[in-house]
Amino acid sequence: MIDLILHLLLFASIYVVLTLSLNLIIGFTGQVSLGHAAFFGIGAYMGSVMVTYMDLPYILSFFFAFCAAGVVGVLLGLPTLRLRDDYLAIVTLGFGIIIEIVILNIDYLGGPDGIFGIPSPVIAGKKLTSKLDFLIFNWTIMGLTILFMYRLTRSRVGRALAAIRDDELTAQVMGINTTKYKILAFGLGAAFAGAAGSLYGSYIHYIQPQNFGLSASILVLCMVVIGGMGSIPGSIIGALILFLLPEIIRYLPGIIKFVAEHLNPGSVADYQKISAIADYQNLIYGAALVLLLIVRPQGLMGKYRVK
Amino acid sequence: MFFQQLINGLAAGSIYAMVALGYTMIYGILGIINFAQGEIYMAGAYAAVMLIGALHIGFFPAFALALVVAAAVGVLMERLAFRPLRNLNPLIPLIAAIGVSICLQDVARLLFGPDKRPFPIKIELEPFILFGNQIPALEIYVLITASILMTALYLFINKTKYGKAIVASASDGETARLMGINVDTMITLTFIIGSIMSGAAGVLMAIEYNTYPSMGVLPGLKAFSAAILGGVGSIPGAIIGGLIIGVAENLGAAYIMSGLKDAVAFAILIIMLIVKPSGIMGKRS
Repeated sequence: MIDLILHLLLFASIYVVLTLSLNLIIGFTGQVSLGHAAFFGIGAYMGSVMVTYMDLPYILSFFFAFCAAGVVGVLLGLPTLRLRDDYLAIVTLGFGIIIEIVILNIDYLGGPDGIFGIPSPVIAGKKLTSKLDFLIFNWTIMGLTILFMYRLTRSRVGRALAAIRDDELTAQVMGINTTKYKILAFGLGAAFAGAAGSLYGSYIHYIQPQNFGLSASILVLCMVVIGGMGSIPGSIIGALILFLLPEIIRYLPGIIKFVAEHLNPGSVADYQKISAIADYQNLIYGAALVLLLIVRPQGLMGKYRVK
Repeated sequence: MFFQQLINGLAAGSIYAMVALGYTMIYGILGIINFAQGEIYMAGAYAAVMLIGALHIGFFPAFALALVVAAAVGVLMERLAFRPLRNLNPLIPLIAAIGVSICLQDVARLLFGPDKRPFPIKIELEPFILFGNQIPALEIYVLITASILMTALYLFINKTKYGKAIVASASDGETARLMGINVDTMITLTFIIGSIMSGAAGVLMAIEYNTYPSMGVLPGLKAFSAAILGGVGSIPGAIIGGLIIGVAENLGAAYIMSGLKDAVAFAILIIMLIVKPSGIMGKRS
């Protein structure tokens, strides 16, 4: 049970970093990206290849995962960031799908089998072995990311990004180099997603292309929008809710059974009947998503105008 | 070889074109990307498979009923998910559509199970011989059916009062309303027509390929690429875009690398958007 909770907290921190990175692009800068999991994947593969196949130190691979995803983000941003919002959404969507298919077809990266046996990170001479070690490391990275995002939004750059989001033309007239700042935000967002990817690979010890496909991109996008675009606490909450919701639905029958049998010792809860809930997981998930958007389109914590 | 691949591509392309018509018409009138269009395609396919397999209805009545089912799914989707989200940032209905798509796939899984279902009856047809090549007859019938439906749509949009009212609502909803057009009805009508086209595409594909809950995802995405490629909002554009993508991916798979087949559509799309973002038939906005 403790192990499971540690595992969930660990995984949640990876999603928080990933969601914050997308929030930087969508929420702070107003640029839509539907292929964000591709950067997550690029970081994961970069980091994993460096530690697994090349025996390089983890910190170096983490740094390279961050940079590789960032560079790809800038390269994708250069020609595409002048497109209109919804077209940008489609280009990034296509990009995400292409990256998944390309990785599937590269033998060095394991094709559909992916990379396995990724070693645990060694930080300052200490190998991370227990879940608690991982938790401390991942939460440190998450804390630094949150701090970075807070500092960024309150800086000159952050105000420039907000100006671009609210009215690009006016921002340009005020002397902001909109293209430069948009590419900066896109590159930084991609880089942090790459960092999250590196964390993911080193914790799970196994990655495959399907982890970084369209459904992952959509999940992260939902986390940002549900939490509220442009809100840092929103992104954290959005990531936690959407990550934990399916887990809760999955473990709910077990929890109900556990509680019922403890409240009323001797009785045996009808497990079969309770576990039927888990069967409706996606249905509940999809319906909850639509319902929440109808009731609160700006997201749980969002202040950003949605009109 | 080349000729055969070309026909394969045209048949696949006409399927994409039919789904793309749904996307482009809905985008034209509401300005939203209906991510759940592929699930309407899936609903059409399942309707036909179940009507023929479980209720033993003949092929043609089942085809017609499947279109009704697809239209009903489309109308319901618009009422429940998109109508409450009008006039918001387009990202919001986009995500709602993703939610709808997750829901519909799960409904299909719960109703019909996660397994792949083959088409319940075998349709045996003699292959056509064209220029010394054997062409599967089904592909020719797919092409013919698609052409008939697309021509009907073209005539409906350009020659009837309702078609013109849809065009008017798409180009300027507020003015259309002032001219006495009920824009809400036109939006419902658009969803009906778009869903019929997508549902028909689903039935045609179900004859040859298996039917399963997530069958609509990839064709849906490619059809959307086709709609953008042709110029979103343009009906001839969606058709041309669909055919180009179908032919390009079949030729690409045959002559370059078969593993990359599904990437071709998106590569074309990205190049197109960078070179000419308004699409082949689109006007500059």
